[in-house]
Amino acid sequence: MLKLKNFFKSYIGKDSISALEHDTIKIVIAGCIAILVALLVMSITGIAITRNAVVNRLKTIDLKNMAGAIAATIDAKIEKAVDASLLLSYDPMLLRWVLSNDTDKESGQFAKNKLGELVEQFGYDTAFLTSALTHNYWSYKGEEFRLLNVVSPENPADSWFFKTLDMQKKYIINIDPNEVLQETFVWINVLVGDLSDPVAVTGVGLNLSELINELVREEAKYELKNDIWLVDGGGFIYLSKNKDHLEQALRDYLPQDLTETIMEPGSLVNEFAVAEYYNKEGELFDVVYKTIKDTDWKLIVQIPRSESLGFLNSIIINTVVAGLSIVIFMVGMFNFITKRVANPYKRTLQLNQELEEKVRERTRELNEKNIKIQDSIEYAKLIQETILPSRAELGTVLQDFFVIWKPRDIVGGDFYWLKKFADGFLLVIGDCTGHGVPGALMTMAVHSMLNHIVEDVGHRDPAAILEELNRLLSQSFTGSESIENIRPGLDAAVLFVAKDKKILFSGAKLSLIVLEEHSIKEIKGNKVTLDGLVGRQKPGLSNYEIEYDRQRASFYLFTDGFTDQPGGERGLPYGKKRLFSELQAIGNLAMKHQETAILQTFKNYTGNEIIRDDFTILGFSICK
Amino acid sequence: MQNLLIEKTNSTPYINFNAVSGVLQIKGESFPENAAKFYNPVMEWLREYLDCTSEQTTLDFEIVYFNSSTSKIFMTIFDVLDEEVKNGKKIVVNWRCDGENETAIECGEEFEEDLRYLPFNIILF
Repeated sequence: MLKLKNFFKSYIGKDSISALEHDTIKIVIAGCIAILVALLVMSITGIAITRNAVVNRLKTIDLKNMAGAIAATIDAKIEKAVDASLLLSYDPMLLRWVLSNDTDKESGQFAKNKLGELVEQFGYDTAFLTSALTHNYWSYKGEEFRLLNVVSPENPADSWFFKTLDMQKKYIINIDPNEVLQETFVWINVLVGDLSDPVAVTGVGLNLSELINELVREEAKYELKNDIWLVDGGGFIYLSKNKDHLEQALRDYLPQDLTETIMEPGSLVNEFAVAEYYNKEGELFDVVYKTIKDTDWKLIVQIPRSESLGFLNSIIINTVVAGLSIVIFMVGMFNFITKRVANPYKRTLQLNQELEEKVRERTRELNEKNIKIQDSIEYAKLIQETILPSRAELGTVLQDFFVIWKPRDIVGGDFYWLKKFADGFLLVIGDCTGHGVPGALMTMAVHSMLNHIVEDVGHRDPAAILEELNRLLSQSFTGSESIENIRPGLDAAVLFVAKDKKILFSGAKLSLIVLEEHSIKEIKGNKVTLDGLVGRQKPGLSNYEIEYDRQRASFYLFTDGFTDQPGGERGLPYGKKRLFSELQAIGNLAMKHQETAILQTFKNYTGNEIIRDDFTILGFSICK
Repeated sequence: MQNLLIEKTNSTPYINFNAVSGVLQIKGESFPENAAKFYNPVMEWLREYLDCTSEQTTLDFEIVYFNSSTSKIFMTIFDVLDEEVKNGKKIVVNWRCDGENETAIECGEEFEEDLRYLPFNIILF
């Protein structure tokens, strides 16, 4: 059961706390979205700027550098080959051997060594010497120097030789694709002797495929998807990283107009031109191209834009990773901060709820107790009322009367008492110390004392009755140490009305008011309260015989709770004067109307003041 | 000795007993449910104070309303003071009340009648 209670407690508590957590989450989400948007904007802008810069740089610098490096390598190789071939052509020993119709042994050996040296030491594929005198085609290839062929003007395959002899310039570079071997050779053909009357053609052959493959291998290190093409004057591809491209027409790969631009004879030799195109798959390529020195061959390097911008992908990935990390970090931070910040607030809410729950519980407990006490007092009131004479009883001895009996707290210390005898009746009004339950306890005790007293000491002497009551009090209430301070007691007034309507009155601090027409008399009792103390300079109690107009007099007994009740503008007690003038004013009314008037005036005077004490007023006329 | 200060409530008076100046003030209304309990510390303070002072002491009462049990306490206080004055202490009681508060005036007069040595001034305002 307790567990269930706690569960409900925490459940109720969670309502507003979860609202708070909800707020926290909202703040965190809003913060993260803000950061995310900022990051996105920043990254997109950054990437766009970088992209533009990269493309720009790619076109103006990078592509040219890359192609330039390739071209420079090729150019340099060819140039070296040209140099080597030129050196060969100027060699006097070589000339001597040719002029001896390839018979001079010494120069022959030298020529063999020289050609061999070029192949073995300088890495050319082939070195050759073809004499215009003997038509012998000497070749050094693969560690072997031999007469490869005897050229003939009739053989179309040998036409290159006779064309070279007639070309009227020192050298020519031929590029010779070998379709069977799928290799491309660059031949440097140099004239030996006078340009107008050459005696031989010499030179070296260079395997360009080897060179390109080397470049390709080099390029492979960078894992670039670029392509390097070597295209002959007819627009056919003779070298490519991609074997599928070989011997295909350039225009199969490039757009028509770009092909034409590239293949224009006068295009640049020393500088690269830049272009871009979309291939058939719609992929964007950047292209650089130039003419290879001394030839009509073109070197074309192309690279997919996506490739050259590939590193942007890694930037994007890095940015995304960084962004995500930042977001996760921020979420953590936000969470931490909001929890740290919100925690005391949350704790306060929790405490507040706990306290409220406690207050509710206590209030309920109090209510329960209150109801119990209330019930108990209500019951006590029923009992207390049984000791008060009924209206019917009063009616048998009084001509007209009213009773105002107002305990402050349901029950109280005020009471009145009536006893009839053969020769008259006794009427007593009393105000015991205290109110509420303590007062009521006193009234019960005094009530039974009075019953005993009239049996013991008689009923015709009111003062004696009060004296005896005082004596009984001193006997009864001795049980407590603190008796000195609380000393329970009462103020009282006793009237004995004889059959002949003679009235004897005795009062302990209480008065009797006699109203005749408009004259009012207060017969004061003795200034002594009944508190069980005897002896000591206490004035005794006296009997007063009341003189009155038997036809018209009305009588009033009251306790000081009425006259002492503060009220009015200045919070002063109601006072006897006010009561007396009120009685004078209303004395001719029927008792029940007097009662109404008295209470109304009292209510008007006291207003919202809390009632301080029990009060009782008896008003009556006697003659019947 | 420490002063005694009790704030007023709905049913109890403001009490300011100053041991240094010798002015002891009780002001307001007095109708506590348990007067003996409320006035016990007041009585204790007073007894202790009277034990150690020989200076002029003034008790200022300005009570608009009080119940009968409070009245008994006041009676006890006045009896104690009466005895002290008889033994030579210099004590004065000022019973202050509104000129229109007949109940308070009457009570003051009744207190005064019972005293033999203690100077008891009823001061109306």
